[in-house]
Order: sequence, then structure tokens, then C-alpha cells
Amino acid sequence: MATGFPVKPLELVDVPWHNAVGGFRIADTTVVGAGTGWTFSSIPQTFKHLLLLWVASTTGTADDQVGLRINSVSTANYHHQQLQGLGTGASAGEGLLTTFGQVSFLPGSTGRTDAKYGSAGVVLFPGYSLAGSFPTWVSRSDFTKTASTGGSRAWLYGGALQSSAQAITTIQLFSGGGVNITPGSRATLYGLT
Amino acid sequence: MPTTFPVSSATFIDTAYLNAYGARLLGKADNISAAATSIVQIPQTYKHLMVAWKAKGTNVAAASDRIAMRLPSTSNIYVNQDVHGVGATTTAEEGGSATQPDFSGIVGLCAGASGTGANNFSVGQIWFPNYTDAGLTALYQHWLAISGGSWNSSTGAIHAGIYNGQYYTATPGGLASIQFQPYSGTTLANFSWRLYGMG
Repeated sequence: MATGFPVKPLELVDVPWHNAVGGFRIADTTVVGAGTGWTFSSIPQTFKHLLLLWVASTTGTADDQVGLRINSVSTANYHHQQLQGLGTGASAGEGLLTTFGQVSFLPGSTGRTDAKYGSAGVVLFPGYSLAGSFPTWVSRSDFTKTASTGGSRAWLYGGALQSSAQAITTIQLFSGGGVNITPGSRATLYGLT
Repeated sequence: MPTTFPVSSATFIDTAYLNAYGARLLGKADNISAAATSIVQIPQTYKHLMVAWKAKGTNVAAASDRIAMRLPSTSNIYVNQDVHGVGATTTAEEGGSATQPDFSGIVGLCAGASGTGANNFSVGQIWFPNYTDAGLTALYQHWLAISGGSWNSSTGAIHAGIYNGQYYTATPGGLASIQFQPYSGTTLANFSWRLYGMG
């Protein structure tokens, strides 16, 4: 027999005190100058899950990985699996023993027909404060370089840092190639209760 | 004319705690059957938006139909890319037209008239990051959608997919309205939605 978890009717969250059980913004940063990404450190361990929303582009000429590091670990212990849609082609791929996790790509200026094209993503870290498991994420993101056939991509990513079981206290989201992120790019981290 | 829902007169806006925390329910409606459903007067005081939806289907003469979205332009300024699975088939598409860009954004699939079981629905979630700067000073407006559901109990009648895109409007301003409609059919049936603002 399954364990039942009754939830409150929707109307019960429509009162001010629902703020205590919803979600909290931990940090929000919009890029205004030169910088290669974001670091969210000293993440409170009081939430159940973390949600990271971002939108960005790159000042570089080449397409660039969007990298993810947990707790500033830079050893080759990251693994990811991706599902991609590109035009009419669906494909899957994986990355093993890399020095950062991958959650998307940013379109470089070469071949990009409009400087306002970029990428966006949402990354979920379920159970991030549980110290007895590898830090793990699931993410989905987009990418547009042109408004023509074959000019955009859709991705679903899953990945983990498999060095040691640990809670997540720091998240870095950054250009894998070390190139500056375009001013106006934004990342927001939420804690979900 | 679409059925419109001004957010400011919707069931709930928690103004006392506006921007103080994370998610806020900004508006909702249930079981709307119309040619189009619009969420309008979206407050520009949050950082990101999220829509959760549920729909029974459309009256298109096919087993399934795409759910289209306008933000609000009807011009061909929507760049779509999806990857989804139906039965044992994995498919990637750039929206509903043969060429990019399209005249609407695609956010999922639902049943068409020939595929509708009595209790079969599709559901989905859509993120609109940084919606108050709909791509105008730095980047165009993105949407990140996920959709799943069924149209009957047969093989090949259940789907799951991600549907993303960008809306490259040249009109300054934040995202103030979102309209949903069937891509090929004429009525989107039993459409329910919730709009959340992320403070």
C-alpha cells in the first residue's frame, strides 16, 4: 500500500502565510560588466530543493558550453547525459569524467544573425542538502543562433558530480571556454521548501 | 476573440508580500473551451514567470494537435525547437511549419478530435525567464516548456517532450500577455492554467 501525502487545496496557498511553504529567492544577479559567469556560495541548507533559472549569451565568437561546478570541485568527476533536438534530428550524448558539468551551450557570434539571440535554462537540484548522495541535477535549455532551419536547439540534461557524496553549498554557472557573458544576462537561484 | 483573463482581477495577488519571496500565484482559470485563451495584464514586478496548464484537446481532425502560444504578436517571429517522443518514435521539430520562423510558439501536444478519450488530457509547464526585459536590451524572450499526456489508451497515443524557443520581437517592453490556442484546430478544450510570478 502506498504512503499517502495529502496536499493542501490550491486555495489554501492564496493567503499571505503561504510564503512560508513556497519558495524563496536566494540570489539574483544580472551581468552588467565583464564576467564569465555566476557563483552562488554559502547556499542555505534549509530548503528541500534548489531551482536555478538563467538566460545568457556570450561575447565570444565560438559556441561555448555552459558549465556547472558544485562546491568548487574542479577535478574530472562530472558526468552528464543529454537529449538534443536540432532541426528534425533527435540525438543523445554523454560526457564522462569532465572537469565541470554541462547544462547547455551559448551561441557564439560567428554565424549568429542577431546579437540578441542566446540561450536560457532551468536547472533543478532535488534534495541538494542531502549529504549522503552525489550532487545531481536535471536541466533543460534552449539555444538560437539564427531564425532559419537548423538554427536552434532544445536540450534535456541530467548529470552528477561523482567524486564524493556531499551536500551542495556552492554552485558556479559559467562559460566553459572562459569567455565573458553578455551584459544583461541573468541568473536567479531559488530555494524550494 | 480569445477568452481573456486580466491578471490584476484574477483570484489572487499577494501584494503585501510582492517581491519578497519566491513563487506567487498570479492568476488561474479552469476548463476554458475557446478558440484562444489569453492571460493579460501580467504584472511586471517579478523576475521570471511560470505557467502550468492542462488541456483536453482540440477539434482538429487528427489524433493530436500542437498547442500554440502568442506573446502576443501574430507575426512570424517565433523560433521553435522541440524534441519529443510518441510511442517508440523520437522526433525533433522546429514548430509546426516547414520553415523557421513560425507565427506562434509551440509549447506541447494535446489530443485532436479523432484521438480524444473521455478522460485523456495533456499537461505542461512553461518558464519565461527574465520576462520583464523581453529580449529588448540584451536578449530576446525565451520560453522553456515541457509537456506530456495522452489522447487515448492505444500504443502511440502518449507523448512526452520539451518545447523551447525564442520570440524576437522588436517592440520594447516586458511580456504583458500570453495567449494559448490550438495550432491546427479551432477550439482548445478544457484548458486550465495557473500563472506564477517568481519574485
